[in-house]
Amino acid sequence: MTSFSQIKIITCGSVDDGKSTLVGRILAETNNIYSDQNDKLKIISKRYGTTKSSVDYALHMDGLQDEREQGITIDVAHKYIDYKNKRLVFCDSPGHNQYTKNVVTAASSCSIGVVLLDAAKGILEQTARHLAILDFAGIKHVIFAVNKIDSIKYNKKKFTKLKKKIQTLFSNYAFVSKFIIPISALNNENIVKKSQKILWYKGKNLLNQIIAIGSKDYISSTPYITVQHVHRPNNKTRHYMGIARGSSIKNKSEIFVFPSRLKSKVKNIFFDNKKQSSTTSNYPVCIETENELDITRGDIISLKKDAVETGNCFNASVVITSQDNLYSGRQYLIRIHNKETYATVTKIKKKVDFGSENSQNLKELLVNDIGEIEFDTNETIAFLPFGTAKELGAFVIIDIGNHNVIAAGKINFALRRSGNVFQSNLKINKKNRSHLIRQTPKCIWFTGISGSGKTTIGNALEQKLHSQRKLTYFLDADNLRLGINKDLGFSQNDRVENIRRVAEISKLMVDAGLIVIVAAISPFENERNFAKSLFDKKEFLEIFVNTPLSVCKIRDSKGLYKKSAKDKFMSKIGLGSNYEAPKKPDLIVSTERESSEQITDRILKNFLT
Amino acid sequence: MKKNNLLKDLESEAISIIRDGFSKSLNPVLMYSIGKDSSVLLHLAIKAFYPSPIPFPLLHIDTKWKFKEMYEFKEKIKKKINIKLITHINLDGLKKKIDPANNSSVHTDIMKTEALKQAIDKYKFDFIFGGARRDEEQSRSKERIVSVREKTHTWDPKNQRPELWSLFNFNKNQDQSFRIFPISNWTEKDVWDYILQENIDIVNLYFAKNRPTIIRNGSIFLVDDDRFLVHKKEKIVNRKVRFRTLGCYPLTAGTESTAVNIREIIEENKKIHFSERAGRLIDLDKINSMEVKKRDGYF
Repeated sequence: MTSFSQIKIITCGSVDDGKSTLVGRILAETNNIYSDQNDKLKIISKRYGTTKSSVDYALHMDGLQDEREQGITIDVAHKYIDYKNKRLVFCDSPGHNQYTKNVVTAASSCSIGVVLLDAAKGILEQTARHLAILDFAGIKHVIFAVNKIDSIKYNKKKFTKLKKKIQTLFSNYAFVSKFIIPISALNNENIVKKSQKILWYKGKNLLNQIIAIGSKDYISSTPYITVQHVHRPNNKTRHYMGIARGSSIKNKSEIFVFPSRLKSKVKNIFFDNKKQSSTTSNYPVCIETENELDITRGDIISLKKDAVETGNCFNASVVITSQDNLYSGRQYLIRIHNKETYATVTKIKKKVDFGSENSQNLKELLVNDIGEIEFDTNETIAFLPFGTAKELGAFVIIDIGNHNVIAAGKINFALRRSGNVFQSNLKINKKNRSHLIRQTPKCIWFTGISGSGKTTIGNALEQKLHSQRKLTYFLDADNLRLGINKDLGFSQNDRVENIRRVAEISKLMVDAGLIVIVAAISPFENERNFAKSLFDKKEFLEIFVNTPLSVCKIRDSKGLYKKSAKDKFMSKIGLGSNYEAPKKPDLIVSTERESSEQITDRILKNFLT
Repeated sequence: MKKNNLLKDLESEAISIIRDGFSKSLNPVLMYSIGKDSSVLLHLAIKAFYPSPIPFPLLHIDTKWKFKEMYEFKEKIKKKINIKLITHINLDGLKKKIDPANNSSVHTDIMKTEALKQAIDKYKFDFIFGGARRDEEQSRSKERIVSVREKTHTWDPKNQRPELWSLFNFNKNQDQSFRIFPISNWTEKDVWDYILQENIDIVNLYFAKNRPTIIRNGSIFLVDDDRFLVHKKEKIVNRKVRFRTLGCYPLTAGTESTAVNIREIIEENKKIHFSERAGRLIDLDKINSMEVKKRDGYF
C-alpha cells in the first residue's frame, strides 16, 4: 500500500527569475487557489500586478504588504498542495541577497531544491550562492528550472549551451540527483503537463519530476533518543521525552547516556496516550529508567555504547544569517540538537568566494558568507557529523547579547586535540591561597568610554585597598597594549580579542587570590558578559563609569578626541560612538558628580566589606 | 500502526515543538478558542506530556459574542479534562458596547487583539502556544513557527529570525514573548483527517443541522440570540448549515450543507471552491487585514 507522505521543496534563484510566479502557477494549475482567493487576487493584481494578465500569481505568494509594494519576496511563503497521492510543501524563498538568511531557513526544512534561472540571463551570482546553500543545508536532489524559455524562443541550441554551464556548476557538489528542465512559468510550459513547444525536451515536466524523486525517508538504523525535556511528575519519577530514531528501543533494554556514558535499563515507555512495549521510529516518546540517572535536556540515549561521538573542539561549516558578523575569538551560545552551551570561535579557516567580494581578512565572516570555522564548547557535547546524521550535526550560533541567530552550522568533524587537552587537577586551589593572605579574591571591572575616568578611580581604589593591607593588582588595558596585547590593533575583531585576553589574565590573578582591578573601555556587551562568565558568582563586579561623551571630549586626557577629529582612521576606532552601555551593571558611577574618594568609598562599602 | 504517514509526521512535529518550547519556558499558556484547531492542539498537548497532565493552563479570550454552543462546549471540556482554564474578557471594551455586526474591525481590535494583549501582560505569559496554520491566510503563510513578539506584542514580518532545521531559538529579551504555532504546517484537510483518526470531540456547529439563519450580503448568518439585529427586509429561515471556522457569530458565515459527520465533512470540503476563511468577515476589511492585525498583536 502506498502511503500518503510529504515532500518539501524549496524554490530559489536570483531576483526576478520567476520563483513566486512558478509556485503561484503550480497552485493555480492544481486547483489550489479558491475562488474567493482568486477574486481577492484580481483586486490586488489591479493595484500591484506586473503582468499583462488579470491575475498576477506571484502576488498570491508575496502576501506581505511590503512585498507587494516593492514587488519582491522578502520572506518564505509556505504553500501546500495535494497532488498524485503526495503532499507537496513549497517553500518559496526570496532572491535578493539581503534576504539570503530566509533562503537558508527554507532550505533547512526541505529535501528537494528547485533553482530557477532566467534563460536569457543565465547563471548569476545569486544562482551560484543559492546552489551552495542547498548543498550546505543537506539537500540531495536539485532541479534547475530554466525559466522564461519563451524569451529564447524555445531554442534548443541556446538551452544546450546553458545546460553545459549548469553542469559545470553542478560538478562542484555531490548531489544525489540532478535535473535540468526548460520551463515557462508564465505561459505554463512544462510545469504540470508536457510542453508542445519544447518537443525536443524528452524528460519529465517539473511536477512529475518532483513526484518521481519523492520523499526519501530518514535513513538511520542506529536507535537513539535526543532528550528534549525531562519531566518530573513527582519527586521520585523522571520522564525523559524526545523523538525516537532508528530501530526500536524495548522495555528492559540496557541503555547508554551521552555524553556521560552512564548506563541504565528502560523501565517504562509511553506514547500515544498509552503504556507501550517499545518505541516507534520518528515518533515522540517518553521513557522512564530503572535507576535514577542525571539525564538532562540535550543528552542522547541509545542502545549502543558507541552510538554517538563526544567532544568539545570542532571543525564546522557555517552560513552567516545576521548583519552581526561572526568574529573569531568571540563567545556565543550554540544549540545543537537539544543541547545549548557556550562556545568560542577559535579560528575562521575559509570563506567561499562567489566572485563579488575579495576580502581575504579571515578574522570575521560577514552576512551571507559561507565559510569554515573551528570552535570550542564550554561543555562536552554528544554529536555525530552532519554528513552521518543531519539531526545530530546541525547547529545554530546565537548572539549572547541580542539573541539573534548569527549563523547556521554543521559539524564536519571533531578536532583530535579535544581528546588530548586535559585540565590538570592541582592540589593547591584558590581557596587555599586566599585563606593564606586572608582576603576574598575579586575582579573589579571598570567599563566606560575613553576619558571617562576609569584609570583615575582604579588608582584611587587600589591605593585604598593597599593601605588596608590587601594584595591587589591593577590591569590597565592601555598598559597591556604595550606588552601582551601589542600585536592587536583597533579593528572590531582585535578589540574582541583584547578583552578576551584581559579577562583570562584577570581570571588567573583572581585564582591566585588577588583583588584585581581592570580598567578597559570594553565597548561590547558580549565581551563583558564573556568576562563575567569566567568568574564565580559575586566574584566579578561590573562598574560602569558613566561620564557623558561631551565631558570626556573636553577632558581629552590622552588627546585622542582631538586626534580623531583630524584623523580618519582614528575616528573609526569609536571613541564612544559604538560603545554599548551595560544593561545591568553592579554599580554606576559618575565622575562629574562624585570625587574619586567618594566613589572608592561607595565601592568598598557595597562590595568589599 | 497508522497508515497515514503524513499525519504521523505532522503529529510528531507538533508534539516535539510543544515539548521543546515548554522545556525553555517560564510561564507558558495554550490559547484555546474552542474551535477545531484549538481542539487538535489541546489533544496534541495531552499526548505530549502523557502520562502526566498538561503542565500549563489554557487561555480563552472571550468576546462575549461567541456562539452559544461554543460556551456550552467550553464547560463540557473543562469538566472532562482536569485543567486550569483562564477566561479573559476586556472589561473596559465591554463597556463600549460595540456591535460586531456594524463595527467588525473595531470589535476585533478591542475584544480580541487588545484583550489578548491584556491577558498576556496580566499573567506575564512568556511562551504562548496557538493553533494558527500557514495555509489559512497569506500573511500566516509567511510566519515562523516560533514568532517573536516585542514588548507591545507587535510582529515585524520584515525582520523575522532565521529558523533553521528544527533548532528553534528560544532565547529572548525579558520583555519579548514567543507565539508558538505547533500546527503551522497542517492544512484544513489534515486537521479534519486527524480529528477523524483520533476521534477528537468538537463543537456541534461544525456539523450540518437546521438552524435559524438570515442572508446578509450573500452570506448566511446564524441568529444565535436576540442581540443580533435582524433588518426589516431580512427573514429568519431555518436552513441546514454548518460552519467551517468559528468566531464571533455575527462575523462568521456558515455554509449550506448536508454533512453530519466528519467523513461527510471531508468529502464535502473536497468539492467546495471557497477557502476556509472566506466566511470570516474580519479577514475581509482590507486587503492586508490579517497582516495588519497580526502586526498589532493578533494571533
